[in-house]
Amino acid sequence: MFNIEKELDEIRSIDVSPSKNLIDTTTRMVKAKISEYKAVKAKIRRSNIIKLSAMAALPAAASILLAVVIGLVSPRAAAYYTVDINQSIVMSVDEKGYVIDVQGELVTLDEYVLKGETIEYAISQTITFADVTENQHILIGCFGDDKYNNISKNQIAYYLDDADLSVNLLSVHGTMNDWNEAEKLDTSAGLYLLGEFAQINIDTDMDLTALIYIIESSGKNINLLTNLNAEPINYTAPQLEYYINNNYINIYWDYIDYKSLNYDGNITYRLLSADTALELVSDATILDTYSFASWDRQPIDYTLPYDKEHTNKYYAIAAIYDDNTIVLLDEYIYVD
Amino acid sequence: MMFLLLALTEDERQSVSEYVALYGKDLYNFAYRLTLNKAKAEDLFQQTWLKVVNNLDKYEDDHFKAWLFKICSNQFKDNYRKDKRYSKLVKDDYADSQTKDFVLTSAQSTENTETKVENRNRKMIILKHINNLPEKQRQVILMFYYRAMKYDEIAEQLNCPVGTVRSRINTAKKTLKLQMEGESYV
Repeated sequence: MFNIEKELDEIRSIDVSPSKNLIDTTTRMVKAKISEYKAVKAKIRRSNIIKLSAMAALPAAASILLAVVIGLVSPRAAAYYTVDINQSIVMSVDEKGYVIDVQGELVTLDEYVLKGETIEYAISQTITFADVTENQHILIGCFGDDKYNNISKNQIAYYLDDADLSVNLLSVHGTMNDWNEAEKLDTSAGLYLLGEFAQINIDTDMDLTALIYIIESSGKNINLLTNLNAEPINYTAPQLEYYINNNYINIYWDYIDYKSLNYDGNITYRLLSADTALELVSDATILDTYSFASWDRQPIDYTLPYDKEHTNKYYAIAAIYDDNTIVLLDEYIYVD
Repeated sequence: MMFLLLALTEDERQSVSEYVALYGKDLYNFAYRLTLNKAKAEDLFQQTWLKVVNNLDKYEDDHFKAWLFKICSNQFKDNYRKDKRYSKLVKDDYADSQTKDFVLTSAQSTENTETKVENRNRKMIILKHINNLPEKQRQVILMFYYRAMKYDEIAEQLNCPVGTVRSRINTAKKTLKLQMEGESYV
């Protein structure tokens, strides 16, 4: 029961302001979108002949550029990422994982569009505006602390899917020592590391296509090589708490940063209830189900009527991962 | 006005930030009043600007601000349809049937207190009913209460007398009351 007039007046009296960060981020997004618009139009205009001649010149140009580039990367960088398509791009990120510097041949994409973005978005944009073919291999290298070794390939694929692009994303993770070794060799650190895994000495003018050809010719599986240093997933599930509010049971739990737990994929939450704690595992009622991607927004609360049907019950959430791992914490709640 | 965005010189790119900043507060307020949730309002705000850029080719009239808010309102309706929360929460919470629904909230949200949840739910029920109003009534309610426009501003935009605006708002509120009485809300 409530007063419509009063509720509407309250709505009208709301006065909030967007944060500076929201305005800045939105402005960047709008600029990126406009650049994209511009780039797509420019791309259509370019002739195939120009494309081919430009491509032929790229490996040599890229290696010269990279030699200069590596020395120029910002000293504030917390980690470096390399993106090897046909040419090499180097991105540095700050401690929060946002791009602070981009070096390399971006062709149709302006560097400033990528700054301040997440590494996944920046990489997807780089790929979108490169000349890639269907299922082309693309190597992403990460160099720095382990905590940066959780780039979401699925999120990049999700962004690329929006652009109707399907590529084969490979990733390697190395240390700053690897980075420095690659610098001495004037080569892309990503290619250097892949060469190390495959026990192949790479030449400075070798690009990703050539390296993959050599690796596969020697009978090695490129996908296995790029998973050598993958961090194990730390599986978990929400730990519930609740409060009673008038006629409602409000169940809530913390946001879970799945990326930091090295998980990159979909998660399904199942809200379970049972008469006994044991039945939560063996014979629970599924009250509701919600699926989301690990990089996406996620549910953090749930409301039930505070009535006979929902009291004297145990509640828990089972988290189900893409590999069918099901996690149910034994710290359930009991609503009496 | 927005065609400038397509000119794409460096100077004109700068003007993009001016547009976002110029209409930012009004648009954000509108988004917040619709969603009553900071994270959702921010999402809606950004989605609206991206839609604006995507639809520049379709922009024809001179009322950029009205067009901007229309895009925001349509985007909200899209989100509303996709978001099970609204329909389930509204239908179940207050109709004495079983309620079971995840509430999508940003981790940073501070709107988790009991009072705010109750308050937000009441306003969402009203919004659901506003969306069921005849278009002319819905339009004025959104303009007056959600965009916080004045009567004369609405009259000017709709090209009708101020008295018509007032009477439409009153009619809309009566219709709302009737609708909600039918569902025992008021």
